[in-house]
Amino acid sequence: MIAPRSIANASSTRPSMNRALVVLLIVCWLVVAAQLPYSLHGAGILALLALVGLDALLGIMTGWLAFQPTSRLDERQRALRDRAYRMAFRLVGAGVVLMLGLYIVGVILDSILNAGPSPSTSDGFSARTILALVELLIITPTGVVAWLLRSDSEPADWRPARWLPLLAVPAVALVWVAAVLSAPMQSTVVARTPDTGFMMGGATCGHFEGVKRVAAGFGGAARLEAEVCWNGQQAFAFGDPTLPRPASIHPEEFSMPIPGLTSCATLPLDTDFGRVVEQCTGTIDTDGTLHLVLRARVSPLPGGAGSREVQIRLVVTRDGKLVAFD
Amino acid sequence: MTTGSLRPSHPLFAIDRVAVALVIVLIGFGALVWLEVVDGAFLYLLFLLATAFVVRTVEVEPGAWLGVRLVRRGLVVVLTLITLDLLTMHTTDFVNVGIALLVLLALGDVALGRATRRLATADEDRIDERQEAMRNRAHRIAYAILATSVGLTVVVAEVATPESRRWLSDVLNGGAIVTFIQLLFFSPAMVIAWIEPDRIADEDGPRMHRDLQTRVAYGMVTLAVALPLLMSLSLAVAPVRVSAFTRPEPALLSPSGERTDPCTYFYARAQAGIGLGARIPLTAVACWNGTTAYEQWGLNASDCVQSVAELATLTTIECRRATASDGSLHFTYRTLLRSPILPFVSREVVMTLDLTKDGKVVQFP
Repeated sequence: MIAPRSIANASSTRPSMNRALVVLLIVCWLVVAAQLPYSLHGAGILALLALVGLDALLGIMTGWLAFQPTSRLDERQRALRDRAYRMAFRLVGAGVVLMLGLYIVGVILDSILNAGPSPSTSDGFSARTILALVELLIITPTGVVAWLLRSDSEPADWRPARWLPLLAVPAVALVWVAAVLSAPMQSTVVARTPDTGFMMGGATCGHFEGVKRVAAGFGGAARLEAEVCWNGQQAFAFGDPTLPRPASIHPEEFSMPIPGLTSCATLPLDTDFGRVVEQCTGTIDTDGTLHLVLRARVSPLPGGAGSREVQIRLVVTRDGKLVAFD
Repeated sequence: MTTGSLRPSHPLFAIDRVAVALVIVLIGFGALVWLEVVDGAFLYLLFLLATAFVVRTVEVEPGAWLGVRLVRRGLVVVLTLITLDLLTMHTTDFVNVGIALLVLLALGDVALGRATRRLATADEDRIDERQEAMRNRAHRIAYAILATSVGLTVVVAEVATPESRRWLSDVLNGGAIVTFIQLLFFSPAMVIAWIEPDRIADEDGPRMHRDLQTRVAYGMVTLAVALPLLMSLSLAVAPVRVSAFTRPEPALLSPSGERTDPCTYFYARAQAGIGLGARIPLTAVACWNGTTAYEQWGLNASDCVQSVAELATLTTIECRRATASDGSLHFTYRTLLRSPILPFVSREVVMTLDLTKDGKVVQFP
């Protein structure tokens, strides 16, 4: 069986080039998967595009051997491809375990460096984790093929058509821009009342967690955590002394800040794909009802272009009735 | 085209060894964290690992039944159904029926290893070229299944709607992890079992010798299967172990200089079942003043959620505090423990505190 020219030409690439690309890909993947630095501060799209570019380059260099149907390969290429898949299978397992280990390290470092409990809205993976997992699944066989290929004396194929897959980079960038500008925002709210993990004398408390994501998290996210207590006279947010103090609570009891309990701040991973600025305002009206409003500006694009305003509103009455949380 | 070494040697830091080492470190780390609470489960896990290690060293032959392709395919279908069932299982269901499915899955995987002679993970020097080609092909097919199922499920669930994100989060706390592990470690063997043709007896390799090592391995597998059943039965048969003590609470002075009412600190812990069961604590301070006995802390509904179940389901039937007309304090904490493997095996555990208005402890625990 004759292999297509694109695959035959794959062997003409110098091995050092292939392996350098693989090493570069691993470094990029580690940056995404390791969650270190904690936040990419809006540069997540650059990491995504770098990975797509490297994937395309590796695919070109290997003649897309890993994705070729069996009928288009000769016996040796088939053997190489199948062997690469077996090695890739183990690498994916090792990669997932590594991601889990790095996640645990990240959580430990986060708890050491950012004192106090972290917000805990548990609704799936972060965009960065999804990117790392999908990248691992898609490109590992091709990476193994690229690593195993050795050089021969054939000259490289520099025909322009061979490099067309690199257009995937601007295509992905365009899809991302369209998504962050026009995709509907996704909102998740969780109310835990009463909150069995927090007690306050003479009052009942509940924990409220809300997050709104732009482009399913691939454009940034705004987040609100609030421990709201009520005592029949007033409802109030506890743990953040900058929020209004209820008249029915002693000033000393209210002045103690508890990091993470009530917080108008993003998690580090929320800002991987977009810069986020948050501000909270709270009022307790004459009925004793708490109105807590989070306003955030999420800017996925540089220079603030295409910014989206996000608002999360929480209203709780003095007897603990949840009026609004959206 | 030439390639790098297609038949690699076995270096000390081979990727599979590193992966196994990482898994062991993670399991060990988790086990150390949970050692205090789940000692029985931890010991059982250790025994399972030892069994897997011993079984791995014994050569296997599929036998007449598992040599038939139709039977092997039936086994693959059963394993797939169990895997899918675990995928859709939420946390609560997983605790209730997941354990039984896990035991079934483990048994199926043992049979799968026997049916395929563990070809998927065999050392290079134990297989011939035809077997290696088939194994590599099986890995390619299994990789496509793994990447498509895991990748698509995760991406669609994450991106589609907030509800799908929550579903993903929920199943990750349930049986989805087991599904992923099953796909990662056993899908190549499942593909081999599916694609390999009917095997003629003694076609590949010598008949298995039933030496001492083989007998030990089979004994360990039998024990590994029987232990959860025995542990379930212990829930009903073994006596409930109770440890308890009381001590007087130091008297305090009120802001006006008067001594507060006398109080007693009560501590009790009931432990039911061996390896599978629960620890039910009761910790409280109760006081009295000659007119009435009353709770200071620890005798509320929120205090009836402190029990730690170990491979068992635990339901609070009653958590009630009452003050009688004679001023005495009565507190009852009643729980029902049920084995997830043998659901008809259950045990009721009752903790009681009866304290009179003049501080006499009538019953505890």
